[in-house]
Amino acid sequence: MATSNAHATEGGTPPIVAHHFNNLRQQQSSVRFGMWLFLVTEVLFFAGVICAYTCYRILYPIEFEAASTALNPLIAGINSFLLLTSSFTMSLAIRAAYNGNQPGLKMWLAVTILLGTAFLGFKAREYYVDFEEGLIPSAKTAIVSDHDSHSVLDAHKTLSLFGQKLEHVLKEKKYYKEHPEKLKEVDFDRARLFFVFYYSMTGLHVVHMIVGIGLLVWQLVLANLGFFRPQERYVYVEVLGLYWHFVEVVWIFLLPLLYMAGHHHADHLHL
Amino acid sequence: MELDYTPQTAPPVRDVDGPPAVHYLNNDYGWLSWLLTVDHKRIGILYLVSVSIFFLFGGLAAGLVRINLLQPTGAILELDQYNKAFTAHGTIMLFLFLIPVVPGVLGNFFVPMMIGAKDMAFPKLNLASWYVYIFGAAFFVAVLLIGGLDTGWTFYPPYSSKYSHMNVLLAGLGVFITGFSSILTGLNIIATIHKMRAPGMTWGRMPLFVWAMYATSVIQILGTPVLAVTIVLLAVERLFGVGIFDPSLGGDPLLFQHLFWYYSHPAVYIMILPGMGVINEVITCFSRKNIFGYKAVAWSTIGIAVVGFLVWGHHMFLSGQGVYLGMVFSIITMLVAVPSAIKVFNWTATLYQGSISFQAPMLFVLGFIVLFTIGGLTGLFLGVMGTDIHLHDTYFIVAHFHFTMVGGMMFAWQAGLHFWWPKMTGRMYSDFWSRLAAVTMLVGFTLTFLPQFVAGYHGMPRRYPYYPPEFQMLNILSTAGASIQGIGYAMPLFYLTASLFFGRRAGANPWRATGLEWQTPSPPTMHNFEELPIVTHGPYEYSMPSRYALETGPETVHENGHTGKEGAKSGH
Amino acid sequence: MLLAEFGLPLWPVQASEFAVQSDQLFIYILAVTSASGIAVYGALAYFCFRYANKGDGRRTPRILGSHKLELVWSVIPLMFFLSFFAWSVVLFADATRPPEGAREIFVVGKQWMWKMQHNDGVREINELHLKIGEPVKLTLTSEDVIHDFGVPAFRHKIDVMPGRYVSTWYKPTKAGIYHIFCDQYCGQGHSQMVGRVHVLTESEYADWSEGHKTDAPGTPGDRPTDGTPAWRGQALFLKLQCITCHNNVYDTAAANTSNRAPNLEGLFGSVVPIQGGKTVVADQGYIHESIRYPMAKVHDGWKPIMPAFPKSQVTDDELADVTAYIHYLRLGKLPKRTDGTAAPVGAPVGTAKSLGDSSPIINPTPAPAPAPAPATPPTTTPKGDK
Repeated sequence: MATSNAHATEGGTPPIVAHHFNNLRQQQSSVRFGMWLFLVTEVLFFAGVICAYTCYRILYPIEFEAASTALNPLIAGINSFLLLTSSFTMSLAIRAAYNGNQPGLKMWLAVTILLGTAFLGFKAREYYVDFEEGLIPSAKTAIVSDHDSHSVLDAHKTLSLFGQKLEHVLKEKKYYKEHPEKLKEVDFDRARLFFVFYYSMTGLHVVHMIVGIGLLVWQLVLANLGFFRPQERYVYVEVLGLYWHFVEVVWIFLLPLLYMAGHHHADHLHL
Repeated sequence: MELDYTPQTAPPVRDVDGPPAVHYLNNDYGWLSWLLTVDHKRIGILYLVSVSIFFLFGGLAAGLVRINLLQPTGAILELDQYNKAFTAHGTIMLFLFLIPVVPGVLGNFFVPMMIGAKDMAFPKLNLASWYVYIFGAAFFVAVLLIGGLDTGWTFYPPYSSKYSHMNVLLAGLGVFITGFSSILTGLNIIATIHKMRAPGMTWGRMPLFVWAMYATSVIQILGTPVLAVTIVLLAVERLFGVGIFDPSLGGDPLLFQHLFWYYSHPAVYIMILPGMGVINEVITCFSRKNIFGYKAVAWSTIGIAVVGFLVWGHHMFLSGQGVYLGMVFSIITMLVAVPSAIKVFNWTATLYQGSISFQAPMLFVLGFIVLFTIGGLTGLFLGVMGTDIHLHDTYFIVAHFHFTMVGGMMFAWQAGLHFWWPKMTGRMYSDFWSRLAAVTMLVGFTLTFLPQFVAGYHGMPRRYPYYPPEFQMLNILSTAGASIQGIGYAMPLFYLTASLFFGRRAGANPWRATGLEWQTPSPPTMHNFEELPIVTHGPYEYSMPSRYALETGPETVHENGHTGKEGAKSGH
Repeated sequence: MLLAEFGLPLWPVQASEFAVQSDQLFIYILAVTSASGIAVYGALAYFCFRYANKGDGRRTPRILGSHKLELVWSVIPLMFFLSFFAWSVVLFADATRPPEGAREIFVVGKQWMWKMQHNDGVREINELHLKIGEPVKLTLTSEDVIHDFGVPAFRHKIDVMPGRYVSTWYKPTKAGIYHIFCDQYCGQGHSQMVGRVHVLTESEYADWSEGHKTDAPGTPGDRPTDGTPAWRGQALFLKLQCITCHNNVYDTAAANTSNRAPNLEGLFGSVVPIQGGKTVVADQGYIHESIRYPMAKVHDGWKPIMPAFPKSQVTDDELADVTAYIHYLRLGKLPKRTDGTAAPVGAPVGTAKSLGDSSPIINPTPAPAPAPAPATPPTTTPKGDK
C-alpha cells in the first residue's frame, strides 16, 4: 500500500489523514471500529423485533405456520440469490479499491447497486401480489361485518375481512388441500399478527437497503471524482461493505423466520 | 511533554495571567462558526445551552404539577391538563435532559482531553449528534405546542395505542430521533476511548470519569436501538390498528412492557453512571487524595452496566409476568445493588485522612452521596416483590427515582459543571453564591421528596391529579420544597452567567487538580494539546507518590502551601 | 401522633393478614438500610470535620485501597440483600396461593370504574364488601386498558390486563372502610377510578348481603352506583322509553327482524356502518347526534324510525348522562387467554364476536350455576388459546 504524506493537503483536496488523528493507522482503525459499533446497534435494533416475532410464534405456532404458507417463496428465493451475489460483488469492489483499480471499483459498485435495486424491484412485486390477495392486516380489514362474514369451510365460523382473504389464499395451497382439517384449526384473525411482523420486518429491511443503495451511489459518484485514487481511502469502501454485508445477513435471518415457517410446494411457485 | 503528577513537590503549573490569546471560544466568530463547528469543545457548549433550555421546560412542567397538587381536587389544572403536564415533565427531563446532559456536555468536552486526544474520533458525527438531538427535541416542542401528550413517559399500550387521543406518534418520533443522538454519541465516545488515547494512557491509568463514560456509552449503543424498534412497533399499531399489543387481536400488552423496560432500565444507568464518574474526579481533588479502590470502582462501573441489562423485570413484578420470572429479576436486582454500594463506600473511604475543602463542587458531591444513598437504599424495598406489591406505582417510587435521578444525577451534574466551569470558560464564579446554591438545592430537594416516601407508604398513587384529602399536608410540604428547589436551580443561571463577564480569570488549574485536561490553558486552545502528551502515571496522584504501604501517615516534608484551599481561593 | 395532625395515622392501618407480614419485611429492610445509611453518614460527617483542610499544607497519605475492605463491604451487603430476597420469596409465595375454599369474586376494571361480582350474583360498582376473617380470591380482568386494583390497607395491588385473567387473594382482619385505588395510569379518569373496601363483621355482612340480591330477570340487572352520571342516565333511559326499542335482548341468529332498533350493548366505541356505505365510530359525538337528529346517520340495515329528542325533552346535561349510560353498556371483550389464571367459574371464555354473547356483568339474566367442571380446564401451557 502506497504511503503518502498523510497530513499534507494534495492540491486543495482534503488531507488523507484528518487533523485530529495522529496517523493513518489510527484513522483507519477508528473508522472500521466505528462501523462495527454501529452494526452492533443495528443488531440490537433487529433483535428487538425478531424477539417480539418469536414470542408470538411460540404462542401461535399453527397460525404462523399457516400465514407463512401464504407468502411467495419464489420471489424470496430470487431475492436471496440477488442479495448474496451483491455481497460478493461488494467484496470485489473493496478489493478493487484496495488495489487502486479505479475502473474495477466503479464497475463493481455499479453492479452491486443494480443487484440491490433488482432486489427492491422484486420486493415491490411481492408486496403488490400480497396486496392484490388482500393480505393487509389493517384496522379496516379487522372488522367483522354483519353480512357475509362466514368462513367458507365452516359455516359457523365468523371471520373478519382479512380472515376471509387469508382463508381464500390458503385453501388453494397444496398442503391445505391435502390436509383440510389443519386449515380448520387455524384462527385466521390471529394469523394477522404474522403479517404485521412480515411487513414490519421486511419493511425495515427495505429501508436499510435503500439507505445502503444510496450510500453506494454516493461512493460511486466519489469514485468518479477520483476520491479513491489514494489507496488509503479504500477503508471507506470497506466499511460500506461491512454495512452491506450486515443488511444481507439480516435477510438471511428473515428468510427462514418468515418464509420457511410454512409449507411451500413447487406447484405454487409464481412471480 | 512529560507530565508530572506530583503537584506538592514540583513547582506549581505556572498560572497564565489570563487566557491564551487564541482559544477555542475566540478562534472564530459568527453563527456559522458555532453551528458548523466540529470542535468537540464547542459542541459541548452547544449541548450545554440546549439542555439548559429543555431543563427549564421540564422544570416548568414540574412546577405546574406540584402547584396543582396543593389541593386534593386540583388547584390549577383540569384532569387532562395535569396528565399532559406530568407526561411533559417526565419525557422532557428524561430524554432531553438527563440522558444527554453529562455525555453531551462534559463527555464531549473532557473525554478527549482527559485521554490526551485532540478531538473525538468522529468530529463530524459529533456535530450530527447534536443536530439529531435538536431535531428530535423539536418534535417534543411541537407536541407541547399542539396539545400535549397524556400517556405518561412510559407510553403503555393499549392506552397509548388505542385509547389516547393525543399526539402519541409525534412524541414517539421525537423519542426515536433523540435516541439516535444518544446512540451516535455513545458510538463516538467508545471509538474515541479505544483508539485515541495518548501513549502511556493504559486502561488502568484512565480517569474514572472516562471509565464511566465508556460504560455509559456501551449501554447507550446496546439499549437504545431496542427502544427505537419498540416505538416503531407501537407506531405501526397506532397507525394501522394492527394489534401487536392489543389482546383482542391476539397481541400482548406485556410484550411492550418487556421491550420498553429492556431499554428503560439500563437507561437509568445511562443517566447515573456519568454522574458517578464526575464524583470520582471531584472528590479526589477536593480531598487531595487518591481514589480509594480505583479497580473496585472501575469494575463496579462495568458491573453496573452489564448486570443492569438483566433486571428490567423489576418494573413489572405486578404486571402478570409470572412469579418465577419475577423472582429471577428480583435476585439479579439484589446483585446489581452491590456495585453501587461499593462505590459509596469507596468514596467515603477516599475522604479518610484527606485534606477536605468545601467549595461548591465538593458540596454538590457530598449532597450527591447523601441523597443517592437514600435513593439507592429505597430501591431495595422496591426490588423485592414482598414489599413492592405495596409500594409499586405509589409516591414511594416517585421519591425513589427522584432521589437517584435528581439527588444523584442532578447534583453530580452541578458538581461537574462547577468543577470544570473555569476550564471551559476561563472564569471563576462566586464562591459564596455557588455554595449557597448547593445548600438551597439540598434543602429544597429534601423537603420536596422526603415527604413523598411517607405519602407513598400510606398508599398515595402516582399520576393522580385528585387525591384523598388526608394526603394534603404531605403534598403541601412537597410543593414548598419544590419552590425552594426552583430557586436553587435558578441561582447558577445568574452567577455562572455573571462570571462570564465579571468573574475572576481562572488560571490553567485553579483547583490544583490532576488530569490531562488541567494541563491545558483555560479556556483550552483549538487542538487541546500542541504536542502529544505522554503519560507515565495513573490519575489522582494527589498525595506524595511514595511507594510506602497503606499505613503510612501523612509525611512532613516541607510545606510549600500548595493546598487545595489556597489554589481555589476566589473572589466575588 | 405527629402525622395524625396531618390527617394520616403514624402508621398506615393493617387490615389484612398480608399487611402485617408485608410490614414486618418492610421494617426489617428499613432497619438494615437505616443502619447502613446512618453509618455512611456518620463516617462522612466525621471525616469532613476531622479531615477538613485547615490551610496548613498537611500532606495526605497515598492510600490506594484495601482488598480486604472491598471484600467485606461487598459480601456483607450482598448477604443482607439476599436475605431481603429470601424473606420476600417466602412472603410472596404465600400471597400467590389462595387457600382452599376461598370465596371467589370477579372484578372487572374499565375506564373509569370497578365492577365487582360476588359468586352469589351480587354486583357492586366501586365498592367491595368483605367479611372479616374470610379469605377471598379475586379474579380480575380489564375491558380496555391496563388498570391496577390496589388496596393500601391490605398492602396489596395487582395489575389488571385486558384479554387475560389474573388472580390474587386476601384475608381481611380488621373491620373498617379502606381505599381502593387504580394504580396503573389509564387516562383522564385514572384518579377518579377509586372505591372503597368495606370489611364487615359476620352479622353486618349478612345484613348487607340480604339487601343486595340481584333483581328479577328481565329488568336491567346492573345497578350503576347511585348518583353517577351512568345511573342517572339509566333512569332517563327508562323514563324516556328508549328501552321499548333498544332493549337488551338481541339475537344475531334472528337477524334484524324481531327488533326495531340496534342493541346498544357494546355499541360505544365500535365502528358502525351507516346508510350510504360509509362507516363511523360510535363515539360521544355520534351518540349525541343520533339522539338529537336520528336521521343524520342511520345505522345500516335499520329503518329510520327513531324519534328525535330535542332540548325541550332532554337537556344537554341529561344527554350527557344518557351517553354515560350507553358508554357504560360497552361490552367487555372477554379474555381468550387463560394461561396462568383460569376464567372465573361460569364466565364464558372467548372474544364476544357477536353482540349476543353474554357477559356475566351486563347480561341481565342471573349468572348460571357454576358448572361442575369448566368446559375448558385451565391450561398450563403457554398457549391458552382454545
